[in-house]
Amino acid sequence: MTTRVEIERAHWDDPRVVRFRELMDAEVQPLYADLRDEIPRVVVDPATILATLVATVDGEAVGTAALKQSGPFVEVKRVFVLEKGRRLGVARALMAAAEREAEALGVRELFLQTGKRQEQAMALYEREGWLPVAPYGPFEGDTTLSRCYVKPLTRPFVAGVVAAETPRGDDAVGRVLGEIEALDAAGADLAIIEDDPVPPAGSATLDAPMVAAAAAATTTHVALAPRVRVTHTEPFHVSKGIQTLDWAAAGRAGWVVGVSLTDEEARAFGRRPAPAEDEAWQEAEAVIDASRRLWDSWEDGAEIRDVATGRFIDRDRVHYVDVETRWFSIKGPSIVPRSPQGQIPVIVDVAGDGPALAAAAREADVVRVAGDRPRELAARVRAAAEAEGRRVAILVEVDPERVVRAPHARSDEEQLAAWAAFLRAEAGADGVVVTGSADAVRAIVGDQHAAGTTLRERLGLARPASRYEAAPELVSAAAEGESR
Amino acid sequence: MTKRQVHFGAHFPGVNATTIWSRPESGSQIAPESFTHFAQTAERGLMDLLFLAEGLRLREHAGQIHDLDVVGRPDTLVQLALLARQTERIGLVATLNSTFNEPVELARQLATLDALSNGRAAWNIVTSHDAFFGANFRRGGYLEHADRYERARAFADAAFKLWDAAGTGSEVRHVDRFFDIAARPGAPATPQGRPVILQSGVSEDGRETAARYADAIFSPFAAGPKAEEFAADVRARLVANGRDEDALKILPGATFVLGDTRAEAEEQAREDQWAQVSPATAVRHIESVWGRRFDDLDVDGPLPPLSDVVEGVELTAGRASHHTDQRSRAAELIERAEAGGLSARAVVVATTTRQSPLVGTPAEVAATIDERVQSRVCDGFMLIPSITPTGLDRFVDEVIPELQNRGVYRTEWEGQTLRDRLGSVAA
Repeated sequence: MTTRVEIERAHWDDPRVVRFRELMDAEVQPLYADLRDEIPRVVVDPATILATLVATVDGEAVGTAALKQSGPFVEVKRVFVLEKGRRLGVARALMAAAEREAEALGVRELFLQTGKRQEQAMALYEREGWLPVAPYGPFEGDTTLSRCYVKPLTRPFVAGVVAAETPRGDDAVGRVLGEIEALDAAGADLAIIEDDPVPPAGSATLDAPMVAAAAAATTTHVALAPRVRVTHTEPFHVSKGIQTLDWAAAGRAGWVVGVSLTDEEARAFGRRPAPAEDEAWQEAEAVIDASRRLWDSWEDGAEIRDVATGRFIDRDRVHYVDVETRWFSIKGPSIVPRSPQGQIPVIVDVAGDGPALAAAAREADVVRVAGDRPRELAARVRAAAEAEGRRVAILVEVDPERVVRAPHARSDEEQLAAWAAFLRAEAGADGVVVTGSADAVRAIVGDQHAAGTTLRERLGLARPASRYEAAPELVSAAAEGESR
Repeated sequence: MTKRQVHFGAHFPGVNATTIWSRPESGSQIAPESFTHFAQTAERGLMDLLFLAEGLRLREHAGQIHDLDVVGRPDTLVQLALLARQTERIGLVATLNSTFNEPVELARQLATLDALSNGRAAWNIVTSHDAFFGANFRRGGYLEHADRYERARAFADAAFKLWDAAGTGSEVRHVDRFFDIAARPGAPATPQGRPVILQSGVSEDGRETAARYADAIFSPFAAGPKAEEFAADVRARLVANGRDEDALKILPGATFVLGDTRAEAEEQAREDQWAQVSPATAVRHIESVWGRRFDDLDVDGPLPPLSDVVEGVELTAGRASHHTDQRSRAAELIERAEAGGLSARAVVVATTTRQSPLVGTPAEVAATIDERVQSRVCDGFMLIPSITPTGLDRFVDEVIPELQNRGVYRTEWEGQTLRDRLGSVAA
């Protein structure tokens, strides 16, 4: 005869659940009797309970589990199975159901805490794919008793970084292309290709958009986002270069916007003095806006090849941008037809409050937040973007050299993956930027490539129509206005 | 005596009045696959150069975007960087303006191309003074016409200093009328050091700049006395600048048409010319000469009368050539039409399409090329096919072997860098 394990939703105050919690306390508390004074009494606010589950076997309630919001973390709490329900897979079924509930709520990584003396529970979690993680949220700092776990429910968005500088005399091309190819093989979603047009003495750099285009020939998956500083360059050249990269890489292009603040760079170009940071970012914002207009200046389908009328393009669908700023003006249109992504994701680094944050809030699609514990900064970026009526994707940095390890860690690779999940959850981020080698990326995504071919797709961004595409009703309204 | 060797460049058939877009086999002018096919075909043909022209702004006619020719192209440097990893031996020519760029940036980009391509970068230095193009750039239309080559030479001098300092990375100082630069070179030392330099201008200033700096010149003179005069003039200038007569390869731009028989090729050439001048294109051309719109002109009928010319009106913008004396140009067209009994469209076809010397069977075309090169009218050609991206395929498959049989074309790659290959004269 087979037993039927079923999971149903219940209320936190369901008498069966209340009784299971009491039984659980009665079973667990004696394990820690010698430490009673050190265990803080936790009162659960029912408002933080996202879901409560009850497991039944042949119709009889035998176990429970719950999902709880604890600050930025979502935890599995109060997993308990009656003696008679054990060895029937009830605990496993409860955990699986909790994961499904969490997924349905859009939770990307699930946490749980247990105690170091609950060895059976720890063994179960580890069998079920949970990764040991440093104590989180309510348990932060408690490495004595708490044993915490994390389970990533979705594959994270992971970016790697390719440094700009190569020692002068070394093979710069081999190094940068090798690193990008390694990131591609490791499953990275994005390679941020750094650049510095005037590198320190003893170092050499290559033009990042060109490196990215070269890498497009030998990579298949990784998106390529070169850093381009806009202070001394021509916005028109920058915009068409990034757009061409999007063609070259079939929609895998991104753009990390930078500014030039040093006198050294200003003297190298010799066109203008170094601007103050405020002004440099105001101008950068204007360059991004101008680029976005140029990228939209050809509507999709503007190329018609109409033999009957002899027209190659429909020029009503190719638009001047007429950008006028205090730093530059651009007539347009772009010389490049609209690219595979249409709008190429714009990435801005934010290291603190300041002009870059303001520019990012208004113009970036993706913000790379720097710092060790970026939760507060990520929140400020999100709030600033929301104030502009926008949403930005947040990437937080993971430094493989600075992983906080769990007391029950099993391997370095697993600790890196767990720490990345922790940092992402803590900041509510959309992904991580790994500052180490491709091996660090591999540890997090395990050579698995994400779905989606374009960078926009991987960021969950739809491909927008050109801003210059006239909605039909607007056209007729305008025509009507004219005839009056 | 050793025969002079033929060199070829392959001009990507994109934004160009010679590119025919109306045929079924006409492919994309922007898809990277088109560039890959074209570049790899040219490389299969052991050609020296792949040539990309420059785009700074879309052409206009009567204040509107010109819509009749192929339009839309990639950024030259980014596209060539991709091709650098999809090809192994062919030179990659970037046409880049010295007016709307800065030396420290362009020098590093060209060095990046040289590094990525392992010594195959070439820079076709072009200049512009036009406020029409300047409207897309920070400086606007800032440069006097007379200064454009002076700035180009100053630009090249500054770039040369940066390339020459790449080994040590030491700071370069360059100060003149146009620049005040103090910069360490960003890029590493690359196989060629300085990229190969091309020049396309044939004005007095352009020729002088070429004689001083360039490794090759892309001229519009494919045949006739002008081509011979041009070659002699360039050689004289080289000697005057203390350079070898053969230090500069003369590569006239040329379309070509191949057929199984000469008659077939000539028929195809005529068809190509009519395809290049659609009825709408013929109207556009007549409008630009007459200086006014002709909305209802029947191009199968006669040209408009001379009295319709409105002088001093420049309808076309963003193209190299323009008409300085409209009335005499219109009179010339009318005279030609009347003498030949030609329709308006036919006279535009006859006067605006390229008259190529390279029309015939593969053997005939190879013989013509050989003869031009041995008589020192040129060192080869910059080939401009009319179909994207397959327009070069037959030339590579059928003309190149003929030239190899004549002992005037390489049968395998020699030299490590583009400069090594361009410099080779003897077989």
